[in-house]
Amino acid sequence: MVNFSAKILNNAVAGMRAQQAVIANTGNNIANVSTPGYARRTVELQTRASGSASAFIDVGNGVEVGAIRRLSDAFIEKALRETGSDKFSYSVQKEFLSRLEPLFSLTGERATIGSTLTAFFTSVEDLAANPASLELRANLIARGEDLTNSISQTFKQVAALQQEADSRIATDIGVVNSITSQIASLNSSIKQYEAAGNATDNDNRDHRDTLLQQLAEKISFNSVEQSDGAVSIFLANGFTLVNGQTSRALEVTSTPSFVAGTQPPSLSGGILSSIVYDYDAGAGSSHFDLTQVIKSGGGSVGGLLQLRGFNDSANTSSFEADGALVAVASRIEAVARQLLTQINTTYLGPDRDAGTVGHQPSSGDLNGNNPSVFGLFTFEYNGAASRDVNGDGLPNDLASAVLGIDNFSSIMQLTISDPTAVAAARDASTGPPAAAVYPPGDGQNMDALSALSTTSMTFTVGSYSLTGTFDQIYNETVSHIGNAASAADINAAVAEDRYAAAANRRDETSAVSLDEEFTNLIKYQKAFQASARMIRIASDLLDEMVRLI
Amino acid sequence: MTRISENQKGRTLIDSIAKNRELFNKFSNEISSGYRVVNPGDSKQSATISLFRQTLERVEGYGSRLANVQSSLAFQDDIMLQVNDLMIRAKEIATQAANESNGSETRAQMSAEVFQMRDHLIQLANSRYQGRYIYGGADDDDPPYDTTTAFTFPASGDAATRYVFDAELGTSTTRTVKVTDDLSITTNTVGSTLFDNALYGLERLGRSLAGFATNPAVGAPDGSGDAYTFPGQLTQQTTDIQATLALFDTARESDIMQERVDIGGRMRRLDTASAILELNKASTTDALASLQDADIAESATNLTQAQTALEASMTVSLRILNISILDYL
Repeated sequence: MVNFSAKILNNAVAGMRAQQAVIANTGNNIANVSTPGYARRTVELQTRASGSASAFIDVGNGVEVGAIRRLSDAFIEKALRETGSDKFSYSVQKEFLSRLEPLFSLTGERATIGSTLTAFFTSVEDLAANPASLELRANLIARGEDLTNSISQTFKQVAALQQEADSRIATDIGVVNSITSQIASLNSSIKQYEAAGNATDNDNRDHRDTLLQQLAEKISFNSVEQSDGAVSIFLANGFTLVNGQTSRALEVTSTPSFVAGTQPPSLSGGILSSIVYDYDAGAGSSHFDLTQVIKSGGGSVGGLLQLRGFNDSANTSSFEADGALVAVASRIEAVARQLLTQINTTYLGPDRDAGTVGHQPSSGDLNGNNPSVFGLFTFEYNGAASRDVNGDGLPNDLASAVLGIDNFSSIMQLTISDPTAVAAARDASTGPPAAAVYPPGDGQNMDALSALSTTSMTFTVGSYSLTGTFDQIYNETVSHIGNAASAADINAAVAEDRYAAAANRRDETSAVSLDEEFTNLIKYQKAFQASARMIRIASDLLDEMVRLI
Repeated sequence: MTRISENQKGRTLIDSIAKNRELFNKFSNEISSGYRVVNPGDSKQSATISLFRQTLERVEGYGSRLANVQSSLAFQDDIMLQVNDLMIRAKEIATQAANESNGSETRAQMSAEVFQMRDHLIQLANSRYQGRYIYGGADDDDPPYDTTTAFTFPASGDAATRYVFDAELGTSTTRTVKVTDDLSITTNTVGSTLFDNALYGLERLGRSLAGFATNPAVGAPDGSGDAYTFPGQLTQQTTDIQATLALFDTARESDIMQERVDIGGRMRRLDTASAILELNKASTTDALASLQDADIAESATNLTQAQTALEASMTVSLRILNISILDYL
């Protein structure tokens, strides 16, 4: 004979316990409604198994808590990570390009390379019309200074952006290292907890998913969950970042020998950093270069590398037309180099002494002197070797690339500061040596200079080469930046939308809904009350039975 | 059934407010700055806008140079007109003096006026425009006609002073100024081609009247310099005076008239160029405005729409956030 009264009591108590567990879980969900990365949990209730197979009628043994399950979908999490990588890659590019754009402002209210170029050539034409005028000579000098200033300032600002991108890469890699080591230690905790026969380690898994998400914001990676609960993280080329409980810390180095391929050009001199892993603590050959693979992926580091320029085994030029900042800098540099060569050569006039080394100037200033051997523009070079081998004022080695120091844009200046020293006139003789110079009213030299504004020439720096006039090259640069910036805008907007969609899907599955929790709370509260009522009913039944005795 | 979690609600509301706020800012910036396109990324036509800006700046430069050339040419034309008048007067004097009813003394008195006319001519030939000698070519910082060379056979008084066109380097240079991309205009004429005949005529007339023999064959206007002997050489004096008439005619009809016709031609080309520049400026400004400037009416309409959308998203946010299941439990 089964004691049903005891059964009733037991089942009622089991019910109360189970509902309490459910209510406690709901409370936890509500408490974590705003916790980032928290995946809501449900308590899985199940009927309690009867002790033994019985011949008697079994009313069941009540309820028990089966497991507390974390509602998280690995594929949705993966999609969120991937869209997150894209979003951060494009948004960092958008940010940098939007800071680059105002340097090429179109309003005409701000001095740009384009406006100072036009003003410079206008001042040349003005002086050609009235060569003896001291005001117009002073104006030419002022416009020339504006031009060199705007070229060097613009170049330096592009260089500063590159430098900033480079530093941010180093900071971000520091964050990556901290995240991978935390993931490795969480792997260890989860493994131990779950191997001990406990249920899933929900809290640590939440934490780990959040860290994976943060990692995806920095770099692209693949991850695989092992059977023991640990997550392994690989880069696209198979390089393992986290394996079980160990993680590998990446290194940011500017030691060229550690780098596979050619170092990207640094616009502000010095050497840009590369991301490597050191297999053997110290020795150069044990460094494995990961820059290329990280650049090919997304995340803020990928985006920054793409902007900054990156090492590439195929690249042998000092300015490669890859990476928006380097591409813009190449164009500025190309303009600076053509100013140095074309303007200087024309300004010095025809070489009257072709047989000898060096350029014999054949133009004359207001005082009848030949102009300085350095022409109209000059450049200062602080390194060991002279860039002007034969002393003719032209950088001889323009054609051959010298890493890191080919930035004439940042060091070019106007040679002249005295208006009377502007050589507007030409030498009247036709053979060597340079002899009688035309008087002050002669503007042949300025005529020759002004013709350069409409002369088509080939602008070459590294792999960038384009033929056109100064104005056309500048306009092409404007258009290049415009396209890069609007492409970055569009990419960033698309990535943002995709990320928002992925985040919505993730939240649809995993995030807490208060409506749902409170509705459930009432349901569970009622169930708890019902179980409590069952105890009273069981008690009444027992009382009735006692009264029978 | 789609589950809407608290995170989703929050994100959607924040996103929609942020997007509407961004639009609102964009349109209000358009209205306050007056530009729709500020940076290269704002338009696919950024290179064209940049080109138009350069064109405008160049046109402005051309415009100011063109105006300068115009006023210089007008000035030169005025000089030519004065030289023309001088030549007419000189011819009158020569014709009158050639009449032998004028004795050698009367002729000597007339020479004073001729030498004054010569000085006037030199003043005109040495005219300065904006501080530079117009007829000095490239050598425009000293007078093109000076008295550094004396006659081979010096006479006395005014007749001893000889003006010669400066032979220094650059005096025969003409200068051209670019007034549009395709048009260059010559701004000056070599002084000797304009004034030499006139000067020779006046000097020879003056010297003859003053009583010094002139003989073109020896070197114009450097005659023998010997004084005529009167009355024997009165006829010779008359012949010499008459000989100057041809010089005045040449000066007036070939030199001066031709120069004036030439200046007139250049002025007309400048007028055309000026009109083209104006047209270029106007059309470029219009095109630039249509590419770059904000259409205030459109921007204002957009702003109103953006404002409505922003307010709507805020109202909706408030509504949604205010609904809580707790109010019903």
